[in-house]
Amino acid sequence: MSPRLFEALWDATLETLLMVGISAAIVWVAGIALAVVLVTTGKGQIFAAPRLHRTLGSVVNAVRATPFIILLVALIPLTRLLVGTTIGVWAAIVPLTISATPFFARIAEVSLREVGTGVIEAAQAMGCRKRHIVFDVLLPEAMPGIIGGFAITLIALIGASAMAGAIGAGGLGDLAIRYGYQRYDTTVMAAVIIVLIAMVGVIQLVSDRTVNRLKRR
Amino acid sequence: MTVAETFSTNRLDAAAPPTLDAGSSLIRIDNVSKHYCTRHTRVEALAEIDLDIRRGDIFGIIGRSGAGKSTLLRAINRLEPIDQGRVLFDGIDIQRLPPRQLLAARQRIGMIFQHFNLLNSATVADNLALPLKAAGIKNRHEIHRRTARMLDLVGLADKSAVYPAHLSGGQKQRVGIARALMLEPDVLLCDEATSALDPETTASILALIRSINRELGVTVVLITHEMAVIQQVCNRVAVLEGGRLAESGPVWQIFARPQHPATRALLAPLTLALAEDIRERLSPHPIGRDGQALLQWSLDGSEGDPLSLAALADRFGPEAKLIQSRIERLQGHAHGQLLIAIPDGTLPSVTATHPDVEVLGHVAASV
Ligand SMILES: Nc1ncnc2c1ncn2[C@@H]1O[C@H](COP(=O)(O)OP(=O)(O)OP(=O)(O)O)[C@@H](O)[C@H]1O
Ligand SMILES: [Mg+2]
Repeated sequence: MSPRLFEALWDATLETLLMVGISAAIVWVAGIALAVVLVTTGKGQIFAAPRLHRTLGSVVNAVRATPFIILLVALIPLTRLLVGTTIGVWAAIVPLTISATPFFARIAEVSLREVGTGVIEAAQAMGCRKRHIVFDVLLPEAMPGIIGGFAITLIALIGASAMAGAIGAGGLGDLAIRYGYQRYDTTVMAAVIIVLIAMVGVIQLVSDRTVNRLKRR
Repeated sequence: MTVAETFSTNRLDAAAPPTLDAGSSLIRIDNVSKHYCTRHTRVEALAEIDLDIRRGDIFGIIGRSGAGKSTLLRAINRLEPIDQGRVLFDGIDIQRLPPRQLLAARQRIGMIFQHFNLLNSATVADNLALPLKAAGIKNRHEIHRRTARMLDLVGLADKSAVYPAHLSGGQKQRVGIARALMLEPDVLLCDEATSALDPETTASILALIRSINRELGVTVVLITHEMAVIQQVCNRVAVLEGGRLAESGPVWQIFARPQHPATRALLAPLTLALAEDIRERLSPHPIGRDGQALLQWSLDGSEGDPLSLAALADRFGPEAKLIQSRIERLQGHAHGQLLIAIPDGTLPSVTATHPDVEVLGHVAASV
């Protein structure tokens, strides 16, 4: 592989990391917030609000039902409104975030639901405010599952970011399509795949370690 | 440090130490009803319950599964809303308090659970810190001081940095008790707190609960399925049956003279069972010349002083034989049953002078 190609690979990797990194940061916060709202507004829960619960559930389902490639196109007007352009790393972050947030929220929701009603009742019985119940009981108790789910989300984000590359977002997907698909350069294709495998491997390793550490206590 | 010292030094920190005039009403359950609607049926979980729990009581609630015990207990700190009636805690109408004041009231009511309900993600010390956080105590030294003191009290001083997963059931319940006592509540609610523990651990947890009651003056309301628990620690007891109050009163009275069939059924395991070999030979009619009559005499606590052997001989004659017996001391009252065999010939004079003796039947010469 020529130094020029190597440089292209390096740049593409950085672009992917940037795209995924920023999206992931937003998804972490927005997804957990959404999951907490989904769980706590349910029937009999601390912020019970059936209408809100149903509406949010439907929105989440609608976004999750839409294939990413379609979402990418459908969100173009919103992307332009938010970042002023529809091309490049920043433009890709909008659809990536919007598609991954509901995905992660549903996974986090499962972990939050698994927190026993017993601990929540214990907290209520000692006179905890709802805010304490969310931040000191629900979230810490569900954290191992949420972190495991976040690793899955990150890996899905990397896959989606490659697709976003196809509409000019840059990154590894863009590189692989330009060289591998359009110019039949299998070396670049292979290199991209190796980099992706390494990324996914590192994410899974870090996540597994963290979850194990949390669960071992 | 003894239990009392621990608590009283804490008490001094409080702005106004609560008054502890023993015997006055602390929790009043006033005509409380509550129903659940499931898809097809309507369950009357509680129906017109009236109860008075006094300061210093260890108040037991017993009843079959589904009788409404948990619902009643949870109405006290409003984990369960009710349909009708009032729950007065120290004169406060708990069920109608605005949210803010409810939180404050709940901080005066500790609760422990069958499955402990500790945070698995937090160390023992952090579990104990949660109620302090709820009460707005943020000073780290203060939190450390109070958790250390309370761990000392429940005998887990060395477990502060341990996660609950590494504790035994008994230790978890001790942490549960410590957590419930962090804010120095007036009352401790226990929903089957010892049901998941082995007999030895149960005994040690009961001893802890009793010392908390005696030395700290914490009123205790406890649900249990074990009559022995009521016998060992409670001074008063209420029996629920199908959401209704079957009866309530001092333990020795209820245990000695159960009025309601539900109570009798619950107490059945405590009553003396006639030995199999005797039961097989028991006949309703006198047998032969030197037949024996089998009598059961129940002590219901009204005799006063402990039974003297001379009094026993006096009552049943010099030839009486003690076949089986079971006597417990409940709040200073002797309670139990004696099974006595006397010669058939002396039966009429014994029953004439002691009509409270029950004739179970007759057996041939030797018992
Ligand atoms: N959340 C609920 N929804 C519907 N019915 C309920 C609910 N909670 C309790 N019940 C019903 O109310 C009645 C009383 O329940 P409760 O839990 O108070 O009984 P309990 O005396 O504590 O029983 P156990 O000894 O089994 O714990 C039962 O018939 C139960 O099925
Ligand atoms: Mg129950």
